[in-house]
Amino acid sequence: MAVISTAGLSKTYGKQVAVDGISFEVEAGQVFGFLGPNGSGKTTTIGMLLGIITPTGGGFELFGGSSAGELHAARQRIGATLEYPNFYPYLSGRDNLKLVSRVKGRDDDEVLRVLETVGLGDRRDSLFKTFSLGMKQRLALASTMIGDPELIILDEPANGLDPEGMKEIREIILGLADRGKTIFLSSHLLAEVEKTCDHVAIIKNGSIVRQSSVAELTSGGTVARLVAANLDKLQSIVEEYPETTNVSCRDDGVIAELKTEDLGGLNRWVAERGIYVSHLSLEQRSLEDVFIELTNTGEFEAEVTL
Amino acid sequence: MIWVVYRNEMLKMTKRLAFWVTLLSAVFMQLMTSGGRFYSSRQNPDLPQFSLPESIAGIFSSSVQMALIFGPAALILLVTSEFSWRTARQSVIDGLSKNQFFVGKLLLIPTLGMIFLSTQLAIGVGFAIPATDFGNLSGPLFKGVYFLAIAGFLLAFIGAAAVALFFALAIRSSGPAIAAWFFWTAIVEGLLASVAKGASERLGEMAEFAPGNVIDQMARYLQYDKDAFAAAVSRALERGVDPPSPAWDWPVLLVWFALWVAVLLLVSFVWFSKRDL
Repeated sequence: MAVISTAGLSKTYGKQVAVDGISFEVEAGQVFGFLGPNGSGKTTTIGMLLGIITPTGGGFELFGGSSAGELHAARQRIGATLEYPNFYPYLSGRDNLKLVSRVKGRDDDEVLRVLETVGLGDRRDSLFKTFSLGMKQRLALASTMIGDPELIILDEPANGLDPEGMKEIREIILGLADRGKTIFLSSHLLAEVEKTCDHVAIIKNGSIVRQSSVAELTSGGTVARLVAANLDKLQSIVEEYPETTNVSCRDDGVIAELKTEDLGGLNRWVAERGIYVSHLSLEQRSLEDVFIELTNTGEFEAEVTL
Repeated sequence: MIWVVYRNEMLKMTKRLAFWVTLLSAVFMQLMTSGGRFYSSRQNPDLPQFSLPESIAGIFSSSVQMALIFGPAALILLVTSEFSWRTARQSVIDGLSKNQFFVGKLLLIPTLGMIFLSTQLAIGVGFAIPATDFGNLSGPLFKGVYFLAIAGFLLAFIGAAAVALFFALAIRSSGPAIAAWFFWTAIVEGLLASVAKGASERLGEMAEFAPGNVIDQMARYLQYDKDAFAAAVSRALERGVDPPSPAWDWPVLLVWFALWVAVLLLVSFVWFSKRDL
């Protein structure tokens, strides 16, 4: 059963097209990544699903309902945060969640429980404005858990977290997925997305350019990673090699898709042109490789929403 | 759900420093006003004593004036912050409909009205009690008209707050919204009325029914107390000054008041509903 289903969903601001007729489905129990560069229309799309932005075209269903009443009822089954954690700065974490729990018809015990789950039990009575960004992210995650929602929508939940914090958040998300929750997640950390999601949709300039399972997306071929002192020159030489496609330059080297697995031939080609590589290896295509290929961002900072 | 929305609004309001600062500012102003009158009457026996029931009209007038200034300002601060902190957006994400969010802000209006009016009246009456000779009162201490006036003041507060809510939801930023509300209430309406009067007699008559003037009339104690009105007229005649303008016919006042409040709230609601959060 599709928990989220969009059909030609669009949003324009004057002549500016933010979302251009996108269609995708999220099935119950999926951990779904919605990826795209900055300004690609991810947040606008999520905003329309959550009822804070009015679509200008197309439509969508949540839990099979599309009328105003059905969507309002469906949103009671959703826990979500959008962009930055939005709470009342002068209220404590506990009071902020109390507001949410009342709307969702839950008791205060649940507030304490979710605060403990995200590791904020000791700081429950501290004011939100005194929280670090990591704590704010945890509070946002706790907020989405109130009411035991079937669908959790998270926009950049790992922003501002240290590696340990990211790991904890990932474990919480995976724990929720294990309990059968459907998760629709946004993160610019592609490696995190790859570890967490089973399906992704990649959006660019308001249109979905690819939608499939992560396994399918990353099984499209082998790539070679080459490292040399001059990465720019290395990239241009590799691009000229007839057996490579989709050559890109990352912080950790030049990545090229190979038509064959003949690394020797590639090494000779590069050496004959005066570049000696310090590292050459065959690697499985990562989600980041696919993302850069599809969006042509060419930069690691490309934002991914899942 | 309305009770949930109201409880949430009360939690947010009572823990908000801006609300307490605004309320305490109003309290301070009334302390100065009533305290000044009390002190002056004590110092100068020739002045009318600040006692009950003689001073009730003055207490009512100053109370409603303070409430109509500080209460709407508090409302603007409470509403606009929901947009600057993006908590309005999050409230809808958390399950409130936009309609329920709007209703929450509407529920703040009578609550703020009761809080601001009651504290103002309590301070005024509190200063008048020590000077009152309860064994030798000049008239009845409680009159039905007082309750009618308080109900009318509450309506006036709702009208003034409806104007403030309109600016808060339209502008969504506290400083500009307060500035626009103040500019409109204190300057623009009066200016437009003057221009209208200057343009033609008919336009001048119509300007009498501008929202600010209707709210002022609703907040005027002499609209409610015929005896006080008659006394004010005779005092004016004794002094040779213009008598106070007559009270409005109730149906006219109520129809215009209801019309303006309905228009302001409807426009605010439509504006809020149509815009993205």
